[in-house]
Amino acid sequence: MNDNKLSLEFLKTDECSFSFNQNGFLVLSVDGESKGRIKLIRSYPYSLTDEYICVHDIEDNEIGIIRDLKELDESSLNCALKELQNRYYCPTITSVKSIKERMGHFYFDVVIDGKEKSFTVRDLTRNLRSTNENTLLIFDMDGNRYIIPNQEKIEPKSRRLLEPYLY
Amino acid sequence: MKIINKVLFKLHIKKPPRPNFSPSGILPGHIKEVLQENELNTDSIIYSLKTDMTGAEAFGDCYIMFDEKGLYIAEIEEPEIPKKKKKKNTPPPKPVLHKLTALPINEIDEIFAEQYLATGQLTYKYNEEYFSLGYFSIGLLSKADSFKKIFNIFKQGKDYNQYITGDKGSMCQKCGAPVPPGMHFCKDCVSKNSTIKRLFSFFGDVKWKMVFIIVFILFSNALNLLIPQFSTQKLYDEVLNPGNTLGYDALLKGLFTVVLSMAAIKIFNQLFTLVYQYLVAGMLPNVIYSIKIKIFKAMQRLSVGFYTHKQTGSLMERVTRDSNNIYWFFVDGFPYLIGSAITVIGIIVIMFATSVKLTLITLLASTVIFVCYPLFHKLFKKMHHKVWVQHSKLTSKVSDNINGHRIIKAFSKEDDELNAFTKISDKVRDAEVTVANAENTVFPILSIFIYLLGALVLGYGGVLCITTDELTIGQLLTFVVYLQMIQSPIDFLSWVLNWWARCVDSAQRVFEIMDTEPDVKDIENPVILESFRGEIEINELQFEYEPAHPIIKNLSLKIGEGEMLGIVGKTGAGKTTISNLIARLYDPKEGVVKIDGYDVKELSSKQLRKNIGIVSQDIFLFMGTIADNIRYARPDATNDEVIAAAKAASAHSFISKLPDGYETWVGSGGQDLSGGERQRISIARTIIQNPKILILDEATAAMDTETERNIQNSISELKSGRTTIAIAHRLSTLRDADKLAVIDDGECIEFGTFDELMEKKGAYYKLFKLQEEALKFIGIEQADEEDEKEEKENER
Ligand SMILES: Nc1ncnc2c1ncn2[C@@H]1O[C@H](COP(=O)(O)OP(=O)(O)OP(=O)(O)O)[C@@H](O)[C@H]1O
Ligand SMILES: [Mg+2]
Repeated sequence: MNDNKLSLEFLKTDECSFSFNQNGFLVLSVDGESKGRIKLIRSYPYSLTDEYICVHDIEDNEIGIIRDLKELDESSLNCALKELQNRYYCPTITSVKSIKERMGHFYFDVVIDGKEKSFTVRDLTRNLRSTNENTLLIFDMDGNRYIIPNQEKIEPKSRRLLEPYLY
Repeated sequence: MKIINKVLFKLHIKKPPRPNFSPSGILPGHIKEVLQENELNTDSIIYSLKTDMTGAEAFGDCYIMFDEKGLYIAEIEEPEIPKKKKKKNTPPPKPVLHKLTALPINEIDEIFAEQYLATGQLTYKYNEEYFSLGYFSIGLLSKADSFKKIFNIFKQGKDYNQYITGDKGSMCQKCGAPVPPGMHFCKDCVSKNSTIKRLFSFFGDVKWKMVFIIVFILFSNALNLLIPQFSTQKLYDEVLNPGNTLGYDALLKGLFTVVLSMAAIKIFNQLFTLVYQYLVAGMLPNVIYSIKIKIFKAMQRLSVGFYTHKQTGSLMERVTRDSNNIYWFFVDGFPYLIGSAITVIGIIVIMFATSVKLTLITLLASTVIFVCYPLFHKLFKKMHHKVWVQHSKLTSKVSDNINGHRIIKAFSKEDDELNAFTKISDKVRDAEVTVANAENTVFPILSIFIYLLGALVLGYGGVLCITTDELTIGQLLTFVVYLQMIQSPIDFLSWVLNWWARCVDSAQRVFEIMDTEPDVKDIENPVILESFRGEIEINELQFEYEPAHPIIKNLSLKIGEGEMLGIVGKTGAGKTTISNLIARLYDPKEGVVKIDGYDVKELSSKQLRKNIGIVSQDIFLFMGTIADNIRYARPDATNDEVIAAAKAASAHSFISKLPDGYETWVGSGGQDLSGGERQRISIARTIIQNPKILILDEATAAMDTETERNIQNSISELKSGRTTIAIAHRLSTLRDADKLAVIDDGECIEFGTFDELMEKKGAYYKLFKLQEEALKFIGIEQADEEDEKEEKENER
């Protein structure tokens, strides 16, 4: 080990093989040995979606970290990507119709997947968060999470509505 | 159905709207109908869950339910009720069943609710294999959890009925009246919410003074309006008129009257101004003072949760900047606002009296301004909000920096911090420049416009004056003078809008604090215990700081009066959270904390906290002397008591070595103390409070073993008649504990006496052995341990 550098050990991707079992759950076998149902967890969920993926077994013990999913063979890669997509699915707001304030509660009317949806946000300072990647996260009172992937690119009207609240 | 509607219609009774929410666990009627049509016997359903997803990424209504025989998943589409009902009496559109799946109950062993990022999945296990039941969005996690719980309890053949609780529906957060789902306030409470009205309500106490002030402003401005009548019209038409036939004496007399009346008017005008300014200056600081006190009071009343959710910067801005914004508007802006309004109205009236035609032209031309104002108002409000946001970011950054100065130095990050600060400053500057630019564009344009208007009037008036005799020269000149006079009030009015916008923006934030209801509130008639014994019982406690992130999961504990409980557990297990819940800094989501047999929610929180002393993990010393800090809980404590408490906390020895002794200034801006010294002061602070329940959260973690022992000895003296909860990582700290609890992941996994737990050879045993080995490893003699055991024996 280099003295000045921290080093991290990764899973050997050529030994790993991901697949979905007949019930639709992701399973892993390492070198032919089945690890059973597993969970995939992103370390950098906003900036590096397919890198530094932690692999946990069903009891939440870490099996290892995959440096980059692209190192996997194609069928494993597709399974892993599918699993991540499901696990990290987040309703995407495509436009904001209105934001109304009533005594500290903010009522949002938005469009998600072409459908109108309303939700309530309680404390904007905390529940409207911008990440470094210009992504806007919104948390409503029930703990639901919504995302606006690129707040610069959302249509101007929605942007104007959001602007006063962006910190 | 239809007949009923007709009858209701005839009787003018509005059919109550169909509730689109239902108590959790019970199927709504219209869903039952659909299911029954599909030959599912809904009467035998034990519990049901409505989820909002039909697939991992697909939203759609779905009902999951079970009875004695099976578990059913029904994908049902409920057509949306249009917001504007076309006809009052159309029955609600019928739900459509898309898919119905049935699973035999004996092919399900256990249900799980798994949590993903924004969604969750219900799964079940059968023969060690997992199967999927369905998805839900994360906000439904707690409902899914209770579905899971009830199903699993049912499967185990136990009584599940107590877990089926009805949904309370939504309530107005202000008055408690029921409101439609999704709303938090009833109509009555919302309509009272006009910021402007409330802003003026601060002046309720000084109503009469306000009336006086306004009257004086009226007088002073009305007088001002009279000046051109003398200085221009009388002068030109009666004195300087070339066609004047009066004699020299009469002219001189006329001139004299003009000058005298001008002087007299000005003097009175100034007198009135003086009086109202004096009154305003005397009244406003009081009003602002009361606003500041109100904000501060509101902040004290709020629960701990509020503070963790807000950045310090944004809170400080509220107390200082926002109340100042309100102050300056009212001290500077408001009198001028009234004055200007009066002037404008007065001038328009006089202008009409002078020449109707000319006035109409003027007004017509100035409509443009009136159209533009509301637009500008909106624009400026938004801009000021942005400036505020950036400012509060800056304040946060500064306070973050000051708090972390040591770390910054240690990592020699000064330059980077400066850069980060510069970046935010840039943003503040940009936002301010934008506002300034907008102001500098809008207002000169308005001024030019008004100037041009003057030229237009002069031209048209000149024509009128020359060609007709509708207008005398004096009148025309007076008109122009008035036009000039109206310019500055209009300028001011346009500018004051912007000022007003800032004031309202600030006021809204101030009201936000005042409106925030504390999460933790006393009930109306709290129980006051006559004698506080300090028996604690925790029953099936569940708690989460943020929705959908459970921290305490089903925890039960019992601590008798005067006992000492030691809590150990991994970091992040929820130990501090438990102590927060006992002191009711937060309310549990489910379950109860009982003290002396009463739910803490029923007790007066004042009495409760007086009797619970917490030495918390992170210690805060207030600005003041060490003695002030020790006395914090009981300011009337005598000097003897302060020293006695310090002695009990082993703090006396180091305090007496300080040059300023007990009068050493600590806290922000004061002398810095070591971690262990702070802990000792904080222990002394709690000792002097003399609480019935003492919670020591890693109270001695930063101290050397000897000091810790000293403190322990004095604490065990204090322990008598006191319930003590000690949280520690170092097991030796807990040697005096009557009972021990091991907390893991929000649950109590082991509970019992030291001997019981050692015999059990479970988690505690493992921990104990581990620490013993570690101690051996670093060379601490076995004798030390034996010593300890001996001591323990002796105590018994
Ligand atoms: N104000 C908060 N908001 C959100 N989560 C919090 C808050 N305070 C604590 N938590 C989380 O709650 C969990 C339990 O925290 P707690 O402080 O009770 O742990 P602890 O057992 O006292 O740990 P330690 O031994 O390190 O002091 C942690 O996972 C923590 O991240
Ligand atoms: Mg803690």
